[in-house]
Amino acid sequence: MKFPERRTRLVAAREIDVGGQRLLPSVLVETVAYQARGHGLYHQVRARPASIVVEGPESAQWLEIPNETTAILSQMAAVAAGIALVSIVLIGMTRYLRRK
Amino acid sequence: MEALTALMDRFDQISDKANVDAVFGKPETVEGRVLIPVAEVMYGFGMGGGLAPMHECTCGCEDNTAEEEACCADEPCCEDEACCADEACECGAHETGNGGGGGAGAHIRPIAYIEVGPEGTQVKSIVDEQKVALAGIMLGFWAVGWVGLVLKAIFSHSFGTTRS
Repeated sequence: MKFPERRTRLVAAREIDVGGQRLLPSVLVETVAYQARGHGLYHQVRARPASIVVEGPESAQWLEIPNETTAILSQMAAVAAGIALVSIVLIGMTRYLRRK
Repeated sequence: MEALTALMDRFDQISDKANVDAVFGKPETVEGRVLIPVAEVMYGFGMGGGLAPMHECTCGCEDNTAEEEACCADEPCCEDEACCADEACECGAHETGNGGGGGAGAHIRPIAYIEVGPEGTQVKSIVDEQKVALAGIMLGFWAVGWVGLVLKAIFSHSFGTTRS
């Protein structure tokens, strides 16, 4: 079976000049492509902003662009996994103590 | 198929630049501050097609018509692939069927905006409240379910002891 081809690249976007500052954004581009042995293919592209470099007249500043929604959802998933784990341990302990 | 691959490669080259520029929107001035929207861009497409023989390799099957049965009477059983590949096996009409389809979709979601003001440049996140609320509700049900299972495990034992 042929697996989809996955590529990740960091691409520099077009610079933005605002208020005497030059913003240099970069974007993370993930591509998933699959070509079946027969007559089929699919192609998926996901472009996420990675960071931005702010170049002023005197200094440069690097700013990360976080994805807060994904971070919150990841935390929730971790909490859900923690709840399940603790519950399984408690159920196991209850059964163990019952047997004793 | 080669044409499709070439098309896909070409599309890849063009889309890289187009996507990157779509992620950072056009700067807008609002009350003396410049706001630049930042979004996550996703798109995809898929296509497929096929060409398949019809009424071929059907002799020996249960749903053969009487005509096909008669045609295949002196042929070896066509249920195996070796016979199906054999040109001499002439049961059925040797028609071919073909079909194809495709689809495409795109999704753009704002995730932040860049604010350029007198205080400097800041990145402000945009939280998808609907998604977070939905996930919160699901997490609530998940927690209640597990707590219920734990309580059941604990109290079923206690009740069992009381009854005996």
